[in-house]
Amino acid sequence: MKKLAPVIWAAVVLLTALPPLAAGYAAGWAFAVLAACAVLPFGLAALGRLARVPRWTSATAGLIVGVVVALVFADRVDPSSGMLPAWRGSPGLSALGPLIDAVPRLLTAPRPAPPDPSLLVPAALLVWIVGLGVALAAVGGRRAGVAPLIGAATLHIAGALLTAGRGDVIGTSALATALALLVGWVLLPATERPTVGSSTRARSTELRRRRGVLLPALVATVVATFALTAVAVPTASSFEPRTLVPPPQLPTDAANPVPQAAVWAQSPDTELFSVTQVEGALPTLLSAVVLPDYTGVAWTLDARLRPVGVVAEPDTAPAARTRTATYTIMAGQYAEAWLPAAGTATDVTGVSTLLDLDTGTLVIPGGWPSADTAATITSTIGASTPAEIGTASVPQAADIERYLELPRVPPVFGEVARQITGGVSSRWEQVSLLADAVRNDTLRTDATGQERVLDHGARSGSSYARLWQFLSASPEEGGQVGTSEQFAASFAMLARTLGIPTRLVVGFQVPPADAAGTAVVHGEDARVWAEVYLSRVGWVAVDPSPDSAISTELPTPEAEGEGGDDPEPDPTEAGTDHQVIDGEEGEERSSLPLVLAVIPLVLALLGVLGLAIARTVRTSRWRRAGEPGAWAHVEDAMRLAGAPPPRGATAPDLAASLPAPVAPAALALAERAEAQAFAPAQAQPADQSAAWALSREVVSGLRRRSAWWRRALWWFSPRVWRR
Amino acid sequence: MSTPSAQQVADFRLLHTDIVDAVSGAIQGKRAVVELAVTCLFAGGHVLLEDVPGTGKTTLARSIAAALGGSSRRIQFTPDLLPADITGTAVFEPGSGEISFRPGPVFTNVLLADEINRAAAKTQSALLEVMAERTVTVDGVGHLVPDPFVVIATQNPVDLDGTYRLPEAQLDRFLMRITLGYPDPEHEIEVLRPGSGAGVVEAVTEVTDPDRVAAVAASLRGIHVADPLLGYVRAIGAATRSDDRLRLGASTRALRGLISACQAFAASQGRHYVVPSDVQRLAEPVLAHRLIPTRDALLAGEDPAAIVADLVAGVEAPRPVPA
Repeated sequence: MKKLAPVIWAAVVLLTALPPLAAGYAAGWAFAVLAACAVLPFGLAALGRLARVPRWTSATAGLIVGVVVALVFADRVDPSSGMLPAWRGSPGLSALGPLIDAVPRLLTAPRPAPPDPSLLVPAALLVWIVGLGVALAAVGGRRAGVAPLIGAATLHIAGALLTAGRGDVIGTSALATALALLVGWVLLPATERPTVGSSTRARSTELRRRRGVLLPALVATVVATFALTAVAVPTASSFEPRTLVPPPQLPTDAANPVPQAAVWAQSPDTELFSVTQVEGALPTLLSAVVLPDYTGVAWTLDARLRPVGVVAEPDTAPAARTRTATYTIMAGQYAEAWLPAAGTATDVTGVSTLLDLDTGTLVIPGGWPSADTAATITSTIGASTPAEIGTASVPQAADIERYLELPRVPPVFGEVARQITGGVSSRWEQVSLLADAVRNDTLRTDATGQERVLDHGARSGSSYARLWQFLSASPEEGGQVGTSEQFAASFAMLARTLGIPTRLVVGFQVPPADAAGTAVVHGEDARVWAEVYLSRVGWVAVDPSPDSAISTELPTPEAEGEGGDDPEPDPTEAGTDHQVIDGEEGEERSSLPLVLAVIPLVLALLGVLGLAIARTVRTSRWRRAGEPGAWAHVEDAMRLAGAPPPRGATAPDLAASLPAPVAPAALALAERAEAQAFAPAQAQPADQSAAWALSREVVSGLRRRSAWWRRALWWFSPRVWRR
Repeated sequence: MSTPSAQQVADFRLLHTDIVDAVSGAIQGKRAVVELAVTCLFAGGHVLLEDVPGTGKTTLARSIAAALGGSSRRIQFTPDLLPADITGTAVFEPGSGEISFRPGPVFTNVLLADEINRAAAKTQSALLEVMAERTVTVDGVGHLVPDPFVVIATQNPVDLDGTYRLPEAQLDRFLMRITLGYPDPEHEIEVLRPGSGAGVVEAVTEVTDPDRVAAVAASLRGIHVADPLLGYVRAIGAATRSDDRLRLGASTRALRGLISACQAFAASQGRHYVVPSDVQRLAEPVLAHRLIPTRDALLAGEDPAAIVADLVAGVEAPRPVPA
């Protein structure tokens, strides 16, 4: 048992350090695998010891076993595919290649990592190697060494890196590790027992003394380190290793979908794809591509694609009020690489997709596998109320430069936009006026005031010249008629001249769903619309084309209690609405470390206060207790001054041992106290105030002669209770 | 037993000082030792003076006897001394035709037993009864010795040839063992100076009489000993019994003796109560000679006096703090 205890302890310490690492994986079995990888090396080490094999042999064997098993599970890139760089061509590197690839694969994978054995390989191999090292150190030793500490710390660091500190948010696992370590260090012998010999007693007392100092220091260090780690790591701005790995720049071979939208719209009855509600109401709009960048000639997307779920922030803050919706898209005729989705996708299953986080555009790199492939998407969709939209402002221009860029814009557009919105300061009213101006023919000299014509067969393009022609030329000259591209682009460009951030979206309006919650999207539903970014509201769709399903009119706010005209909110939608005020959540998260830091502080203050009160009670008790109390006050002062009375010393001895200036008073007090304590009871009580005055004199003299830190702790030090 | 009045304590202190002053004329530079010896006499105990020859043991003993007044006898112990030479013997009186008891030198107030360890064990044992019970039994008849009765014995620890080690029972009957030691340099020069009063016992004046000494000694029984001090004395005794350097610890009689000595010492300091310092001062002279170190401790050079000092330092002394 004595031999087994340190081994079991080491294994337990390692196991307590695993949860943060396992939290980096979506699969539940990840922890089991990691635990096995941590425990099995102990068996291996024990086996090696039984067979009397040197430790380095066991280590080598264990390492080889670990690497071979890891290679079996790691994904292998076909060398003939040409995807491998040249330097990986040597036989050794090509054999170990999968292991080399595993770490960047894991670090660029979504978080938590999908249940793919090949992604578990790096973590499992790390745990195996750490376990092997700790096992070889622990098996055969009877001491509670530091190997488990080093191993556990390594695993904690790995877990924190993999999960960006979110694997152990409140530090439970770190605390468990610290406790397990302490239990071992306290209960298990810290050093070999001294051998029997003449100096046994001296050595053991020496050891005891050293342990008496070292152990609390060690304990304090370990607890403080883990507490600091627990407080410091899980902050909102924690380190995210994935941002250091360049995202895969996959060539997006998908065609620019803007003309494609017109193509779809020209065959209105073609069934493109169907969308089925899974959870939450179906979104009304599905965007295929979001085009944030305007070159003056065309709207483009500079996509930086990453796996869905990677932790990073988009360049525009998400909406404060959001809801989540889950829906399935079944590709029929739709064969584009762009996966239509609403809002920002947080999870996509069914097809392998990449996400451009800033725009929310989803790309299927390999294209749709087949026509009956179904992609299930979970999205976060803005759900701001009309009131919020109506009162929202736009962010500082410097923060959203990308969405205001108008290279070499002709000044006439700015003049027109100011003329349209003249005097209106509300951003949404400006948006509404601009949308009306784009929808209706009002901008030329002989304007009819009628709606402009939406013709999917009209000339494509969104250069300044084409837009100016669309807005101001007569129908005979090719003006007043355009595809939804020209409507949306005109609006977006005019809005940018006023400092309203906009972008273009190619996507689909979702028609009403049938009873089963399935809506079939036809060619006629393909649209190009604009989106406006408002502070705390996020991106709001604006479609200035004539038959738009999106209105820019906001319902007039009604007096309270008169909600009769409003349609009843959909109970299912209300039930599944997941409204999170993001800002508050952020505050909550960042305040957690603060709370964790404040709690010990408050506890410490309370402790100091309690000690001060206890000391005051003690002093007043001494004061009431006559000469013996006065003497006890002096003894307390001696303890505080760092000279606790030795066991065998009598009061006069102690008094004589004090510094010369206070010794006479102390001696007088000691004699009076002894007379009070050891003489037969006297009829007349002694003069207590004189004794207390003596005591005060001695105590203040002792305090004056003490070191500054003893003086600082004088009134609340618990040292007076030391025996 | 009533507590002695302040007047009584003051009287005693005066008497004590007088005796010490008188004796210190002959034994210069040893006032502390003299005080201890006189304290022991008032506590009703016997004194064993132990030191190398020539340090003034016999002079001290004779000086104390002289200062106390009353009768004093001296026995020079030799190997051929017999018990009857001490206690006395029954002799046939040819004149009256009766057998009458002729008292030995033990019938006196102060008995000087010089070089006590030179007599054989049976002779030493003749003192056992009289030291404990203050009676001498000869031929089945008990004879009381006068009160006060004090044995002042001397012995030489160095010269072991032709000596008989005092048995434990005998040692236990001495309240204190006092070591004189050499005088310090300036007093030694004073002693060496021709014409100094050192060693002149005849110059010691008689400052009191036996009856007064007996009365004062009886009143000292009433000096107050607080409960914490009784516990302290017991704790010291218990420490001597459990210490692994000692084969034999302090007996209950030894602890009672310690208390009595403390009472006398407290009174000699002008106090009517005992304080822990008294116990600490007297623990070594009262206890050390009764303890028997283990063989290992002896081989390691441990001295019982040092062991007692060590134990006293380790026992929690009662201090005047509220409970």
